[in-house]
Amino acid sequence: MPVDVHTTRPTDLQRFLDPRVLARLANLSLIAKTVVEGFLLGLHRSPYFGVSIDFAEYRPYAPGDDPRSIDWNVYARSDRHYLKKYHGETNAEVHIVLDASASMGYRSPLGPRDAVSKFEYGCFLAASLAHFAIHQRDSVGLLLFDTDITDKVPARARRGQLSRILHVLDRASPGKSTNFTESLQNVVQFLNRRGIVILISDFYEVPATMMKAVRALQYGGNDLIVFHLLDPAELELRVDQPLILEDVETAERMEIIPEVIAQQYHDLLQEHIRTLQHECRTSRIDYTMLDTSRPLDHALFAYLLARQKSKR
Amino acid sequence: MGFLSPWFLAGVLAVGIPIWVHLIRREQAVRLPFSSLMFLRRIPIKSMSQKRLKYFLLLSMRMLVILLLALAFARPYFPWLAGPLAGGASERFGVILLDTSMSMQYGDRWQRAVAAADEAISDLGSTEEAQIVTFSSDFQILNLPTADKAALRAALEQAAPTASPTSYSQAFRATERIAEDAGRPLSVVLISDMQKAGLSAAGQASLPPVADFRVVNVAEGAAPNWAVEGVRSRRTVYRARYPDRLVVQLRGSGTPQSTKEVTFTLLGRQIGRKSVGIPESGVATVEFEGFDVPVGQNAAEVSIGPADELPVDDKFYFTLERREANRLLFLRESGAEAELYYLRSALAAENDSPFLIEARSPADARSVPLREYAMVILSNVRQLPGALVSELREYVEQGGGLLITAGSNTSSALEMQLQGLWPGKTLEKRMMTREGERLVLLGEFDRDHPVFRDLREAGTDSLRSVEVYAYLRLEAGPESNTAVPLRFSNGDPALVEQTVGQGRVMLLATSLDNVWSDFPLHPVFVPLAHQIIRNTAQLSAEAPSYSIPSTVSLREVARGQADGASNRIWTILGPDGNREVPEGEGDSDILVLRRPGIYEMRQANRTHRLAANPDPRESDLTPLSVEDQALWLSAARAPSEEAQAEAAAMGPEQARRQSVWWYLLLLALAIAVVEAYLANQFLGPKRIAVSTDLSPLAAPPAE
Repeated sequence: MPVDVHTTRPTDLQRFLDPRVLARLANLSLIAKTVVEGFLLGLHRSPYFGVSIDFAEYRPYAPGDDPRSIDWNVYARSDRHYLKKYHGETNAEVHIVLDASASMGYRSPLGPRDAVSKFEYGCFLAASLAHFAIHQRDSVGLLLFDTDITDKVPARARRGQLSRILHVLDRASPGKSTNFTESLQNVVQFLNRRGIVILISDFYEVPATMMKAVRALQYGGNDLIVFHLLDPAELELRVDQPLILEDVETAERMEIIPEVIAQQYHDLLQEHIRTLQHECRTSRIDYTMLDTSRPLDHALFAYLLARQKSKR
Repeated sequence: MGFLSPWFLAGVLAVGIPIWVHLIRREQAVRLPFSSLMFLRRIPIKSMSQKRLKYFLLLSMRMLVILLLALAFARPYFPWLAGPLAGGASERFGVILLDTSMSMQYGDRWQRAVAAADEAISDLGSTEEAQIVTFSSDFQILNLPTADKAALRAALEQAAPTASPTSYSQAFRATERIAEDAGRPLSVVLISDMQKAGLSAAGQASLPPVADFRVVNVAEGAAPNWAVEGVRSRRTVYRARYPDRLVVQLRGSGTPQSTKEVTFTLLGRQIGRKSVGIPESGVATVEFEGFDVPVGQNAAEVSIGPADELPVDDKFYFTLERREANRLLFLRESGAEAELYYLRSALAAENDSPFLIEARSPADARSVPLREYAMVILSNVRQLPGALVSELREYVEQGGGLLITAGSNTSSALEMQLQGLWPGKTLEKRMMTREGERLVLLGEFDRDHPVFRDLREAGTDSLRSVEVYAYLRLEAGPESNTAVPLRFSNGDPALVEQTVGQGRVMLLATSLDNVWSDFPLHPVFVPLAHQIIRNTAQLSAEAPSYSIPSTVSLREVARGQADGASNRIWTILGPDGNREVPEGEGDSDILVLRRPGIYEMRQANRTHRLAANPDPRESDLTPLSVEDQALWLSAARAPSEEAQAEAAAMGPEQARRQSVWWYLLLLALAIAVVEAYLANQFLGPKRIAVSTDLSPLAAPPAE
């Protein structure tokens, strides 16, 4: 079922979905709850209500089927045994893989004071998705990586799982440089069951190299959702004075005149995004590019769409 | 290396500007962390270190441009590059200064001088250009710069000694002029008898710095010389018998006591011959008197014998003219004889007076041809006949003189008649006795005016004691043609002069007799009466002879001739009988007397003679003392021998000729262009915009 994310409109509660507002909330649990509930309230007003557990079909009983699934009302009317099948009657295993490299800690120094970094935004997103998944009674796990896996919470559906995830997110901070190939290969080892893998990163890597590592997450029939986080200052170089930029991961410095190179930088970045989109589409990966200044409900819609697709 | 404008070197401080700008630029770059330089690395901007290097390159170029500009404006010059840069030739430029003054005619000096010049020509290098300069009281460059020795010798053959005095300053001027044009170090040879008299004239001048200076002294040993230094005589006499004594002055320089025969010749006829003893290096005088002078302008000559080594100054030429006295038409009212008496007495005070007064009443003068008179005097005249007025006006306009003196008869009617001739305007007839002031004295006078130019102190005192009891109070006319050379002590004009046409009118505001003033009773009246009449009649006091070289204005010679012939063409014959041409351009009337003897100037039916003689100072052959000569030569050579000599030896002009500054400016311009190009390439938008080939990032090779 297609979902048009642009049909949602901000409401009083939805303003809490604004990352800058969320950043003022110290408690990550509260943030996740606020996001999800705000999202759901907004969702009730959408024409796509009822995307959760729905009736799917009736199927004639066959030997071996669970007799408890027989719809006895239908048997009374038709004298035949039919089984009533529902979507989502099976809980999914959701793995959230969050990039914790140094580049994710970037926050535009020239932007608003209350702007969030990509990592903070990623944490909000991960927390919200975990809360949402737990709310759907899915089992949820969390993996943080930079050059390797730095922290992990195995996927469980038990009580307290959300607290563990939020605890890990709360004390996590951006670390070193990124090594997609090695890190994601290690992530694959934790994917025991077919489920949903949510990859949150800024993807500063050569697309071909990166996609090779990302596709590994699809092994075993996993549905892969990719959230590409970018700061507004990364999307547009809007400074009118010479800058000496220092790479937060490599400490390399470069003097630039933004007004001179801004357009070329923009072209190169858009080309990078287009390449990622194209590669993801061809690999049946859901790709969503998120500007850290935009509300989080976009990400939740993307997740829901992916989950729905996964249950079919 | 030297600098013509060293103060411009202060501009070097301006190199701080680009350094400051570069520092500011570095401060402006804000350092910011950024998530990844992955994309920026793909934009073809050079690395920081390379850019820093280029910044330093740009900084260096900008500093260099400023340095070069400062250097260029300081106008550096290199003495050792003087030749190649200025003229392209490395050899020196030869200058042969050849003394052609009269003293070079002494003995065999001239022959030796020519031989020395010929030797100097031989000494020139095969490609060394040279010019020969002759100098005496002026200089003449005989040839264009040439290395052709045959041409130089041909030019040398043109040179001949003159009768002009020596002036080393002329030789130095010629050297300066050649140095300006040559643009190379000069090698100067001065060939002269090193006469002391020539150096005194050069006291203000000095030889410009030259690379090489050599003197060839052609004077050898003692040079005794006798000369007729001068003749004191009248230029004009008005009677047959010469009225005074004609005094001849002889001088010997470096001479022993001797006896000389002095011969006085007039118009080719020997008038007298006397023997005179001249003391050792001394002066003697000889007098001639009691001889008759024929009518007309006569060439006269005094010579001494026997001839010495320098015969040119053994003769002295002068002119002696006998002519009719200048007739003055004195018009006064009948019976008024006092003015005539005083004026006639004053003019007759001079022995052989040049003036002859003819007194008439205005009515009697009606039929008198005014052209026959040197001037007309209107003394206390009431009125003139109408015909005389018009004739008088024409007479003055054609060059005649008119003197008007005031008196009791002077009326406004006369002023009306003489309108145009009357200098200024009469305001009133002022009688001092009536106004209770009793008298007014003569006051300020113009010392530069010809009337008062020769007035001595005693004359001044006499003039200022003149008491005037009545006078015409005048208002002088426009200053362009009117002058007031004498005023009363109250400031009113006493003597007014006005030029009318070619003639001159003077108005004395008081009378010539002793009624309106006591002027004729004062001693100053006699010389002033002469001077006023000479000035009004424009009678020039011509000298009996001129010193060589002298400049004579032909127009001045013709002035005072009221026959209107002053504009006619002169025919001038030199002492040798050959025709002379006035110098200058166009209708020049300048005649320069350069040779000793009698010049004849013929115009229509008139012949005017001028006598020219060598400057007597040139006859003194005393050589420059050894000390003076050494001092003078060392001063001339000093710049080429001192430590920083070569810079100075080039001379400021040569230094200016060096175009080092021009090359520096060109270099600065070239560096500025390169700097602009590099700045645009490295910093400007163009360099980055060219990288349009922005392909997606390439994947690393598959493992």
